[in-house]
Amino acid sequence: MEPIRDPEGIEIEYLNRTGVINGRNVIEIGSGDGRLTWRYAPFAASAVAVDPDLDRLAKTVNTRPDTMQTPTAFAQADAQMLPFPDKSFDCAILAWSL
Amino acid sequence: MVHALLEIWRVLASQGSLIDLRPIHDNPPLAVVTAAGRHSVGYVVDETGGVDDRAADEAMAGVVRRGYFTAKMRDSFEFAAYWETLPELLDYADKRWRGKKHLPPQVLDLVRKYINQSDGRARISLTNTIQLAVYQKMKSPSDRSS
Repeated sequence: MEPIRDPEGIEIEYLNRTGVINGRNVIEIGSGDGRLTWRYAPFAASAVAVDPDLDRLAKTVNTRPDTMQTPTAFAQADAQMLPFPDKSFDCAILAWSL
Repeated sequence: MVHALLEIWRVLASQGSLIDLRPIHDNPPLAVVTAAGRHSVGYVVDETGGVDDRAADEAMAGVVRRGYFTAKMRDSFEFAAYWETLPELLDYADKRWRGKKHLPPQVLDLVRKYINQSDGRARISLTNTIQLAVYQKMKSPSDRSS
């Protein structure tokens, strides 16, 4: 069973302090099971979660909060070959994945 | 890693931002949290020697040195994960930490001791220090030289 991670919400507090997520088009590389995705997505203009593992992406989709209004998309891809045109995003997040 | 960073550079808009969020290599502290308080029980031992961290640092430093990104800010914070039972922690450790981290026997003994002393509402807490770094996309070196 997965642990309960960061119930205090410290991670999203620090992410928001960067000032580069709010209202931006964000791509997250190595999104895993979407734990972080659903925390920053409400603040972004759009969010794209990228992970090479289809099962983890499916889990992300399945845990989408009902209240989520931010447009979100998911891509099964390797970080070395992202299936997006040049200059598509304002912000990229490498969350525990570099 | 460098190839991935250059690919991220490609999909970022001009002056776009890259956030690098990851745990700092160390032996993270473990504690048992009960109604009576927080009891430190020792550390999870990292067996990797920080090899992945150094490779990531070098990759990031390389693309900064080559002019693709510039560092904008750096910060760190404490990130806690909680398990409700020791078997859950052991199961997680077996699946995720094999060959990378381990729980020393004396640490497990202390976890059991504090859980047994609790009223059954104990949680096991692991605290990682997370490094947060923000970089800004620069024009590529070839763009700037033309």
